[in-house]
Amino acid sequence: MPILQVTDLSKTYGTGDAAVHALRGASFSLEKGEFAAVVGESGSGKSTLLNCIGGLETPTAGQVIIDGQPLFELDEERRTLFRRRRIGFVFQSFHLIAELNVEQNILFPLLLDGRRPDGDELEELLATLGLAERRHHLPGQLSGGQQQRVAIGRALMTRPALILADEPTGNLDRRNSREVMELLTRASRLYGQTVLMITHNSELAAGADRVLRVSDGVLTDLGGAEG
Amino acid sequence: MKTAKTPALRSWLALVPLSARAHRRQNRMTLFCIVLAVSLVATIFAMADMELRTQRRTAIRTDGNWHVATTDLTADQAAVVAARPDVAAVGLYDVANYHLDGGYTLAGQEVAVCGSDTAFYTEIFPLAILEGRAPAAPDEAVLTESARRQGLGLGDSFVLQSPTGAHTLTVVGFIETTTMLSRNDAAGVVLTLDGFGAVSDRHELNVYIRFTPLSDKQRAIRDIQAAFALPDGALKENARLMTLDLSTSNRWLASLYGTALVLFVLVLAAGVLMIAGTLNSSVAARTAFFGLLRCLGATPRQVRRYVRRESLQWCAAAVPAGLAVGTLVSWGLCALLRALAPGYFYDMPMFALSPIALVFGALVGVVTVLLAARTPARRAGAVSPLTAVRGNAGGTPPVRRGLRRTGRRLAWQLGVHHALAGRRNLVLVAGSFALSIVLFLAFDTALDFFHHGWKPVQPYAPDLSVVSADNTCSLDPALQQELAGVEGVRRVFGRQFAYSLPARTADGQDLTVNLVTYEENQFRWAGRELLEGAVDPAADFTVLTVYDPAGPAALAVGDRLELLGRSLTVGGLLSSSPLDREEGVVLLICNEATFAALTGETGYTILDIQVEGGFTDAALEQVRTLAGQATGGDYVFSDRRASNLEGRGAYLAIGVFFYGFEVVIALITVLSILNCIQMSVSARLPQYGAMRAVGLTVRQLLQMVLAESACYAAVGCAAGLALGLPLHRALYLSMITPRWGTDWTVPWGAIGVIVALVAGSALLAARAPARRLRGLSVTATIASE
Repeated sequence: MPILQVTDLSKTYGTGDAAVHALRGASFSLEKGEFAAVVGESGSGKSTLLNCIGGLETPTAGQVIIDGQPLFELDEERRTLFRRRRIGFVFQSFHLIAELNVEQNILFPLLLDGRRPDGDELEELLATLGLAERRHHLPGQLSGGQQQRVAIGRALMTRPALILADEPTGNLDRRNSREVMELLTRASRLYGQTVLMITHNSELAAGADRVLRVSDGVLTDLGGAEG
Repeated sequence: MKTAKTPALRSWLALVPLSARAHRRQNRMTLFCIVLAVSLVATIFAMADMELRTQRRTAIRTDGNWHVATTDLTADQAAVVAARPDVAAVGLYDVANYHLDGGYTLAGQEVAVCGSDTAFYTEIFPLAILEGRAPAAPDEAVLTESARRQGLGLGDSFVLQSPTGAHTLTVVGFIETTTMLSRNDAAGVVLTLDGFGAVSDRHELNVYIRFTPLSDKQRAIRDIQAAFALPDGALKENARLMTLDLSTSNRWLASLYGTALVLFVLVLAAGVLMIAGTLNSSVAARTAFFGLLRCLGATPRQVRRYVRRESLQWCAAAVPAGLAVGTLVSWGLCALLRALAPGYFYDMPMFALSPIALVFGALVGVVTVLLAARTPARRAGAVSPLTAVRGNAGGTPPVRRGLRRTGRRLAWQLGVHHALAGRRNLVLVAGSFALSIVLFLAFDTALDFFHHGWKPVQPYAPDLSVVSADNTCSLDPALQQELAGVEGVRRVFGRQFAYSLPARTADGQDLTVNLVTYEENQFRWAGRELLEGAVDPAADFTVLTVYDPAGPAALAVGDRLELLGRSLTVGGLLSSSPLDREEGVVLLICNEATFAALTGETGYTILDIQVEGGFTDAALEQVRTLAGQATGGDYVFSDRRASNLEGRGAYLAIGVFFYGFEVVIALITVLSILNCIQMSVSARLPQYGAMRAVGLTVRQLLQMVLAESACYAAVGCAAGLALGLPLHRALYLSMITPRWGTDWTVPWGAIGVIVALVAGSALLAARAPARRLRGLSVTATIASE
């Protein structure tokens, strides 16, 4: 069964003459462990697609099923809990909590759930992210690349079914972008996590298993990335 | 920045104190507001408590520390009463020759003699022994200081003559002379009960009973009455102390605590508005953060809980600080009151803690914060996770309605539009202003009431008075000129009195009248109290009357009445006079010529003297000498300088208290508007940057902020006056008009002060953001998201 199933997803803002059709009947599915990139020009509807899949926005029509759970059959509270436990977010601007150090930022979603972190898991993750030496540093003391790695760690900590990454390398230089991509790919391979990533960077898109193009709200599956 | 090892987070709510530490500067305003609200309530209740304690101490000092007294119990029965668990003390007392005409003398001087047991002078009426000790044996005595004139000292023996014979007693101590003995130039002798029994020919034992603090006193009274078959009324209550110990319902006490409670509710409301403003401001500045929490999976309930936990954390720091400040302020006020009016506030405690103030202060701190946090918590919980994703978190607030039309003063228009568009803020800030204005006007009425009734501050208040011994017109008019010639005397004015004269109105109603004269000074002062008609000192056979709703006749201007065979016309109605009202008697005021024509009298009943600041003791002695010479010693002299000074001091103190309170309320309002403007400016910073980029000058930007601030102030002022003026009128008509007949008029003075304060607040609120905006670069402003 696919981990993610999107069927006829549409999102319209406004009504009548002022209506904006950000998404028009998008349909696709992702298998477990698949790494997909979403490309498209600015304003094409990529972020709207991601937001709807992440339950941050309610679509006008269509369905999103994650790990067998129709997302919008859940009420807001349960959808939030689902997002906390089953979806990981990575943002372009990192969005770390400035008052918490690296370790605390990574553990935060677990703590929201009232769960105790597994020490070994945390150590392994910090090592994988290359942040073991910086575990007590605050975000303000880290470079952009390091901050994004913390954000990835936070997304990975709950072992979500799906990771949604919105331009994760948008604020990074080439070297850091490559490192972040490697991390996301490794997570996808190592932990079997499905990754859906928005990117403007065709080079990065080429590293994905599949490429989906959104243009003027219409999603086209471009299939596997060219070598 | 330090990279110290931070403890592991056990719960996600541990983020609260971490965040608080990181944002200390931003939280200062909220903490300050909580401290202010708590300290205000603590001060109010502490002062009410101190006033109560002062009253209690004074009551005990002047009347004794007892609840009920009776002459219907024997000493043995009193011992049984003393054994009750709800009785704290029982004291036995007897007195002879209280009226100083019973033949108890010491070296020919009449003395009052009393006998008591130890409990009476240790528990009930503590003897303020100035020298020596209390009597222990039947032949020992304590004398009042006035007895020293007999040349007696400690250890001396004297003979007390009484109806039972001559008794030799030994002086073992001296106490203060009481007011009554002083007035009668007499002395007092205090003996043991056995000693009293030996000297006195009459015995009526007075048993004084004091109950324990928390006992049901009324029930105890009923029990004792039943146990000893005492008739109704045998147990006489010390009403003053019973009231102060909350054992009797009393309107004054109810009103004191009622006043404190009303102030508590008003401060609670003002505090909630103020703190809600700062909390809203804090939440609005952190929508990105709350959006992020939501994005990471925090439910709206968890976010609301976060905001509430944060608020309570502020309480943990601010409430103790507020209580400390409130306590210190109340100590300062007590010291100020005692310094300004030591006679009135002699018994005011210094440096005392008030448990009730601490409890209510803490309560207001926690309750206002929890109440104030409700809306901000809801707002924080409602922040969409999209605000984190979209990157415009905390940015420009959504616009529902655009500017209708644009004119030349676009900056001003935009500022006003910003104020009116943000309904929540508008309600908060305007509400805060309105509340402040309502309180100001209410206090204005209270101060007016106080000013009406407080005689020492009236212009006619005399410093010295020479009064006819028999209240007739026996003071020679020439004395007035002689007294006026004494150095340091500023003014001498007299009054003539004729009491209980029969009069008849034109419609045949019989009246009893007191006729009093005014001279030019008093007529001039009376003009300030005029309600109707005119004050004309030269008008003969024309009288003024004083507003008295409970009086026997409602005389109006123009009414005629017959007095001593002559016809008089009522020329004017005054709201008050320096003279006390007498039940069933109408007061008429006329000039001296009219009085002389009616009564034939030309002498004065009283001559009032007002003195300059440097009036000397020698001058005072000269006044006494002149009065003595003119009257042959047949006069009563009154020196009210000290009590006038204290009265003015007390008035000043109460004025300071009232206006101090109003300053604090005004401060709360200023803080509200400050918060609101700061929040608005922060939210619109990128917008301002964009405007600056396309050509808006700094000056125009400041105009915009000022316009927004002024709009809040104007709306608040209008709302406050709309609510406050009717309240002012209602209070005036219920408190002042019925008593003094003065009609309500629009308080233009108070309104002027309010408008000036409101305008000042608006300017002040715009100052800090203006400073901030002046210093920011255009690109930094645009980038500040």
